Amino acid sequence: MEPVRLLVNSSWHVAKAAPGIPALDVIRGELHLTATKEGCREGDCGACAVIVGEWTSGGIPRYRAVPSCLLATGDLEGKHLLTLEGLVEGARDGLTPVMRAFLDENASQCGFCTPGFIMALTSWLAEPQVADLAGALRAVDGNLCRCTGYAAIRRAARRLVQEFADLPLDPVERLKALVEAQVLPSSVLEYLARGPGHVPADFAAPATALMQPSERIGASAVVGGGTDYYVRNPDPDAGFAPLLIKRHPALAHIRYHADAQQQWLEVGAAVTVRDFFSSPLVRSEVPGIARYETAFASTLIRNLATVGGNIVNASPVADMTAMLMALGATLVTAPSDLASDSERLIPIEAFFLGYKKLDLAPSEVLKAIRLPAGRSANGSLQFSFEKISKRRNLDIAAVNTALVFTIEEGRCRGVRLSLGGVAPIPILSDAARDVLEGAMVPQDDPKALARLALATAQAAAASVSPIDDVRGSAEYRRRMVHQLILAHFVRLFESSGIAEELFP
Amino acid sequence: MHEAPMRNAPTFSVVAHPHKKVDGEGLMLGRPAYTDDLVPSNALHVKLVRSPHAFARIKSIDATEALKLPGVACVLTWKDCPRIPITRAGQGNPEPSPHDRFILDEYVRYVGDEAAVVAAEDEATAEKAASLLKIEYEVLEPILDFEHAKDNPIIIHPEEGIHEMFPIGFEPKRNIAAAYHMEVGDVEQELAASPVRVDTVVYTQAQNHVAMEPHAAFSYLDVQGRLTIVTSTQNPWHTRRLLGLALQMPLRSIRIVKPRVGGGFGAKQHIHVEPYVALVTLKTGRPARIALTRREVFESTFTRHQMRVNIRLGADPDGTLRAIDMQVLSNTGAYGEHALTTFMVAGSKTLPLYNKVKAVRFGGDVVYTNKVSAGAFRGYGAIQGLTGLESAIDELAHKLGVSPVELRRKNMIHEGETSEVFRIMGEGTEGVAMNIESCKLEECIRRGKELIGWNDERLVWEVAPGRVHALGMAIAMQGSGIPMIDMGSARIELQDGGFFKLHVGATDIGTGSDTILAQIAAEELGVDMEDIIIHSSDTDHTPFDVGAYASSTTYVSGSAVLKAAASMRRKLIDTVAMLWNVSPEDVIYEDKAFRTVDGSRHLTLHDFSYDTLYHNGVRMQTIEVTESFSGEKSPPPYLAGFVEIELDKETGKVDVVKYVGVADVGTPINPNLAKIQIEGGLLQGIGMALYEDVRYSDKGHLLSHNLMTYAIPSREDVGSIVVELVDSYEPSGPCGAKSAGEIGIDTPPAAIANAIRNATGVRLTHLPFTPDKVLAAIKAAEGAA
Repeated sequence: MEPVRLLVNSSWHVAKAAPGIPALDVIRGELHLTATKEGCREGDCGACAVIVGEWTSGGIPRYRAVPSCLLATGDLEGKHLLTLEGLVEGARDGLTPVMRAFLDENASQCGFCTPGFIMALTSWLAEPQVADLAGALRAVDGNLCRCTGYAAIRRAARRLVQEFADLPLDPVERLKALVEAQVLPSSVLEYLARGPGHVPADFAAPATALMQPSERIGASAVVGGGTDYYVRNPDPDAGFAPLLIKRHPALAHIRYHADAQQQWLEVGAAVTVRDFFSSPLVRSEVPGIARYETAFASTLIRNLATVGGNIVNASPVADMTAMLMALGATLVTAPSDLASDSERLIPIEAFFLGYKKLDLAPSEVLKAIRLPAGRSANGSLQFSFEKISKRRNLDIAAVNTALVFTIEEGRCRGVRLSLGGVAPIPILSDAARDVLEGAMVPQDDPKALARLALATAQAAAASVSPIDDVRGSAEYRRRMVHQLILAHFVRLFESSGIAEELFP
Repeated sequence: MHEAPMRNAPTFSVVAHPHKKVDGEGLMLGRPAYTDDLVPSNALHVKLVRSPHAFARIKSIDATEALKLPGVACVLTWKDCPRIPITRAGQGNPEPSPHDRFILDEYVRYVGDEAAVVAAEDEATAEKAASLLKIEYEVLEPILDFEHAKDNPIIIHPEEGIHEMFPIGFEPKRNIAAAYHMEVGDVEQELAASPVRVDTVVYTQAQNHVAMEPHAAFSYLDVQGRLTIVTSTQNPWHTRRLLGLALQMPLRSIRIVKPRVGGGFGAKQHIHVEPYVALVTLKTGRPARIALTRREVFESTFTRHQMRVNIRLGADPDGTLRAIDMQVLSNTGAYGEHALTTFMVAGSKTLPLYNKVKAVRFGGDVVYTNKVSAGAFRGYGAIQGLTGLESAIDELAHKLGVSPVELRRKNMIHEGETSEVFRIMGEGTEGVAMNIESCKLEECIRRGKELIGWNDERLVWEVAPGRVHALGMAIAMQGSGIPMIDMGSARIELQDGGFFKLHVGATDIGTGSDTILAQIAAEELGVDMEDIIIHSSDTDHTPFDVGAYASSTTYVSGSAVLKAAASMRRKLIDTVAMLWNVSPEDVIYEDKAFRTVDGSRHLTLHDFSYDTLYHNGVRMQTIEVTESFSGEKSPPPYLAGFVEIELDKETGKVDVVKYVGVADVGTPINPNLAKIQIEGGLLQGIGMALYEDVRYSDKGHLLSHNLMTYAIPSREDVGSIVVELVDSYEPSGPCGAKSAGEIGIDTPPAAIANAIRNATGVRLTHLPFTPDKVLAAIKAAEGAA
C-alpha cells in the first residue's frame, strides 16, 4: 500500500492516514484545515464540501466539489485538494468573488454551512458550461442551510451569474480565466502545468511511511464513490485500506463493445453518476435520460457516487438501479484482480437475491454495466423515470419506477417496467409487461391511450405487496405505483391529450 | 376602524442600515471560529454511551475490558456523579422547569439517554472503549403514546428527590411534568350563547432544530485551577449556574466562553454536553472535548414539544368572535425541560391576537413519555397554539361563509389596545399587563394580500389536470423577551485612539446580534461601526446577560447597549466639561469631537482618549460605563403569512409555490439581518408543515436519526419566499425595535393547512402534511361524498 500523495492547496503532502480514511478526517485532523466543517458525516448537508482537481481519463483537467466526509483519502492520489483556506491564496482583497458575493448579499448567517456553499459555487464556475442561475442553484442542491431560507444565497448566486457570464468554455482556458479572476488560486496553474503526470518527481515520500502495506487483495471492503459505504461506516479503523474502485482506470470508461451477435455500451463500475448522465454516448443510446439526472441525490453526491456503487449498495429503491433495470442492463462481475477470463455476465434483475443480498461472491467485484446499443436509432425507444419522495431533492424515494419500450409497427416491444420501494429488492413488473407487450399504442386516441395506461397501472399496483416504513405506508406506496405509471404515460405521450383523459 | 396614531420615527445614520456582519469576512474566509475548531491538541476525546432501551434500570456497568484498552483515560457512571437533581433547561432563576434529571442516573428513559461517559486519547479509542462497556439493563415497559401517559400505571419518574422550584403543577407519580389553567369570563356560557361554533383539533409534531453545527464543547483547567468550558451555547450564565449546581462547585470556579455558534434555534439553550467534558476534566485534570454526531443530535438532544391543541370558538353570525377555549396536551418526553413555559406560550402568545372576545380559557397538562426530551425551539409553544387557533379561525370563516382575511381583521388586536391575557399569563408565572404601542398588522395584511394576489373569490384554481393551486393565510404574534425576568447588560469603555470596547453578555448564535448591538452603540455614540469593537458572551470578561432566547436579544440586550451608549455619551461630555471648567450644557459632542457652544474650545474624541489615559496627570481615568436593562413589557412583533401552494390530487404532494411574510418588527436595526431571520424562520416553519417529523419504532427507537430520514428543506424545496418589513416604531424598544428571531416561523403550518383546506375541502389535523396523509384525506372525503 503506497502512501497517498496529493497537492493540498499549494503544497504537496503525503497523507499519514490510511487510504480508506475519509478525507474529512485528514483535512480537519491531520492538516488542521478547519474551514471544512462536519455537519452530518453522511453527505447530506454539504458543509464538508471540498474541490478536487484531477485529470480525466480523456486527459482533461477538471475541478469538482465533493463531500469530503464520504471521500476516501486514497482516491486523492495525485490530485489537487482545494479547501476554503486554499481558495484565498493570492486573492488581492482577501476574499474571492464568490465569498464577496456571499458577504455582500448577507448570504451567510451562522456561517457554518458557508464554506460548503462557497466550494460548491466555485466548482460550478469551474465547469465548462454557460453560467446561468438554474445551474448555479442546482450546484448547491446538496448544501443545506438552516438559517437563511436560501433567499439570500439565491441573490448571491444571481450576482455571480451576472459577473461570470462570459467565461471561456474550453476547460483549460476557463480554469486559467478563473485564476485570473481570483475565483481559483494560482496553485491551480501549477497543477495544470504538471499535466496528467501527477506527482512532482522531486517529491519523495517520507522514509518512514506511517502505514503498513496491506497484503490483502480484494481488501476488507470494496469502496466505489464511498457515498453509501461511509454512511454505513463513518469511522473506519485507523489502518483501513479498502479496494478503491476508482483507482482502476479500466473501470472508468464508457465505450462501445461488440461481439458477433450484438453491440452494447459498456459503462465502467467506477464511472461517476455525474459522468454517466453527461456522457454523449449514454445520452444518444437513451434519449431523454439527461433530464433525470437531478432526480438522483445532489450535485455533490453525483460528483462522487459511482454507477456501480449505486447498484452494489442494493437499496430496494436506488434510482440508478431502477433506470438500468428498465434499460435491460447486464452486469459484468470479475474477481477482485479484475481477471477477464473469470468474468460473469448477469442480467441486472437476477443480481438481487434478497434484501441487500447480491449474486456477488466476496472475492468478486462489479466491473461494468452493459446497456443494449442501437435501440434508439429509429427514434422509437421510449424511456421514462418517476419517483415520489417528501423532499424534492436529496431524498430517498418512497417509490420509484422506470419504463422502457420501443414502438415497432405501432406496437409496444421489449417492455421493461422497474419498480423500487415495493419489495425487498428492486423488481421488474411482469404484470405490467403482460399488459403492454405487444399492445397497440393508440397515439392519436387519448381515450384508448388512457385505458392502456390505467390497465398497466392497475395490473402493476395489484401485483405488488409493499411494506410500511419511515418513507411511506404500504397503502400509499401501492397507490403511488399506480400514479407513477400513469405519469410515465403522460410524460411519454405528452401531446396526445392523455393527461386530460386521466385527470379530468 | 381603529386608526393608530402615526409616530414619527427619528432618522438614523447607523441603525436601520444594512451593515455587513462584523464577523462576516472572517467566517467567509473559514477562520477557526467554532468550538470544535479551537480544541487544544492534547484534549481527551469524550464519548457518551447511550441507552438502547426506551426505559430501563442499569443493573451494572462493567468497565474492565474498556479500561484495559491503551489510551483510555476514564469511564464514568452514575455512581461517579453527585446525586443532585437538576434541569438542563437554560432559564431564569429559579427555573420554571422541574429538577427531574441527574447528570447520569440509574434509570435511562429514552433510547439515546446517557448511561456512561468514556474518555480516551483519540476519538477512535473512545468509541472502541464505549463499545467494550458491558452494561446490564433491567428493561422496563415504556410509555410512547402521549395521550396515554397521564395516570398510566407505568411511572417514568419514580425516583425520590426530584422537585419543582415553585408550583408548576408537577406530579411525577401521575407522569405530569406541569399543568396550568386560566379563564377570563365564562367560556361555557359564552359558547352556549354563540349562534355559530366550531370545534377543531390539531396535532403538532415533534420537530428537530437541525442547527448546522452539532453540539460541541471542550473544557480545561486554567492556570488558577478554574474550570473553563468553551461551548456552543445560547446562554453562558445559565450554563454556569446549572453546572455549579450539578457538579457542586462554586460559580466563581467556572468560566464559560462562547465562540461563534453555528445556529441554535433553541437547541443550545440547555446543558447537553458541558457536564460531561467538565466531569472528565475534573476527574483527570486534562482538557476534554466532545462533539456530538448528527445522529446523537437527533437521538439525544431536544425536540419541539409535540402537542394536541383542541380549540372551540363561539361567534355571532356577523363574525364577532365571542369566546375561545384552547385546551392543550403537551408531550415533554423523558424530562420536563421547558414543559410549563412552552405550554403556556401556546396560549399567552396567541390568544391576545383576538383580544375582543368576552371569554377565553386555556389549560391542560404536560406529560412525560419515554421519548427524546422536548425543549426550547424557535416558536416555543406559540407555533403549536397558533396552528390550532388559526386553523379554527379559518374553519369559522368557512362556516360563516365570509372572507378569512376580513374575519381576522374584524376581531384582531390593534395599536393602543390590550388583552387580559398579557396580565394573567407569563412564562411560568403571572404575566405583566401591557398596552400595545406598535401594531401594524393591518398594514401587514394589506401588503401581504397584494404580494400574493389574494382574491376571496378565487382561493383555488386548476393549473393542470389533477393539479391545483390554492391560497391560505394566517397571522401571528410573538414577544420581545420575557418581561421582568430577562435581563441584559453592556459595558462600554473608551480606548486610546478614540474607539470603544463594547462588552455584552448577549449571545450571538449566528443571528448577527454582535453586529446589531454594535450598530446601536455606534448610532448613539455618533461614531462609525469600525469604532466599536464588540466582544460577547464570556462569563469572566463580559457583563451578565440571560442569553439568546425568547426573542430577547434586540429588545433586552439592545436596550442595555443603548442605555450604556447614552450613559457613555453623557460621561464623555461631563468629563470634558470638567476639564474645561464649563457646564456640561455648554459642551457639544458631534462628529467624534467636543466643542463649546461659543466655539472657543475644540477637542477630538481621538485626542481626548489620549489625554484621559496618558496626559491628564492626576485626572487621568478610564472612561467606562455599565448599564443593564430588564423589560417592563414584551412588545409583540406581528406577521401576516400568505401562501400559494400547488397540490397534486393524484399523489397528495403539496409544494409551496410562494410564501409571503410581511412583518412588523418595529425598526429593523439591520434590515438585511432582520429579513434573513424571517426568511429562515418561514422556511423552518414550511419544513414543519410539510415533512419534518420525529418518528419512532413501536419499541421507541428513533427512525428519523439522520438528514435523510429527517428531511429539512433544501434549496430546491420552496418556490419563492418574499419577506417585507412594514414601517413601524416601538416606543419602548431600542431605536424603536422589537424582536425578529421567532416571529417568522409561526405562520406556515396554519397557512398551509388553510391552503390545503381551500384546495381540497379537507381539514388536515396531523402535522406534517406529507403526501400520504394528504392523499388519504382526499380519498376519504371522496369516499364520504
